Amino acid sequence: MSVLSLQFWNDLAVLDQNRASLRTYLENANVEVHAIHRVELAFDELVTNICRHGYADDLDHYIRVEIRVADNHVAMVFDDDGREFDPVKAQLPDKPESIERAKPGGLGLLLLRRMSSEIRYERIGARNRTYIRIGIRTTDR
Amino acid sequence: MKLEISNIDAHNARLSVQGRLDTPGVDVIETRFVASATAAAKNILVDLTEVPILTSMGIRMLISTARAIHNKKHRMIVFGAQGIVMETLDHVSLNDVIPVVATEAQALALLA
Repeated sequence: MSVLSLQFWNDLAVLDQNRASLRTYLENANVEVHAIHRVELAFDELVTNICRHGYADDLDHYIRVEIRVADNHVAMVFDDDGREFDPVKAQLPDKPESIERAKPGGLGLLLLRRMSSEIRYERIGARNRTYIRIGIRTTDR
Repeated sequence: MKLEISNIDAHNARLSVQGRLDTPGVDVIETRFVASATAAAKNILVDLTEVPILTSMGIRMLISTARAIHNKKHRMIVFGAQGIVMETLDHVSLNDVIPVVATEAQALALLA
């Protein structure tokens, strides 16, 4: 299966069209619907996090994502020049005790970890590189 | 993305969402969602039956809306979640702060 390479600005307005490209790629690879949703969710969470929290300036920054379907997983590599953020070591939110105390922050990270079978991170120069694997079954393999 | 509010009875209203509650979807719907839920001045049953995907942005919207409703002395209950949406709700333990049930009948039973 070929690799899907996406490259886009740090603008959430382009998230939907890139997510659609991702979905088409996964459907063409016969990935089951439930796994497609997991991959889409991980993609949404990480790109949203980069765009919302990655940059202290208002400049345009490129984000690159490579996606590859293997026999039993989808591998994604996110590359961005935002502030250093290690999703493996970042602290997860405390479990809320009540609606008054619930703090929505950090839930994206929690979902990313729960939905992924593997997450790795490295800082290369001024860039973050995050590797995510999500387990799949394909519909006809 | 569709949002529809309908009265169930004098005390309860149903807020039905059709579409993806991901970052782009929440950007489109959040203002109307919060306004509809809080303006009803009733308990709100959020129907997620027609929601295929829910991300942390959608959960944040549900929590902030539930808190606003709670502050007005009403309750919010979520029902109809399936597949990846139910899996997402489980992962963040939403049921610890907002009741999550399978059907509208179960939601109404909680409010009886």
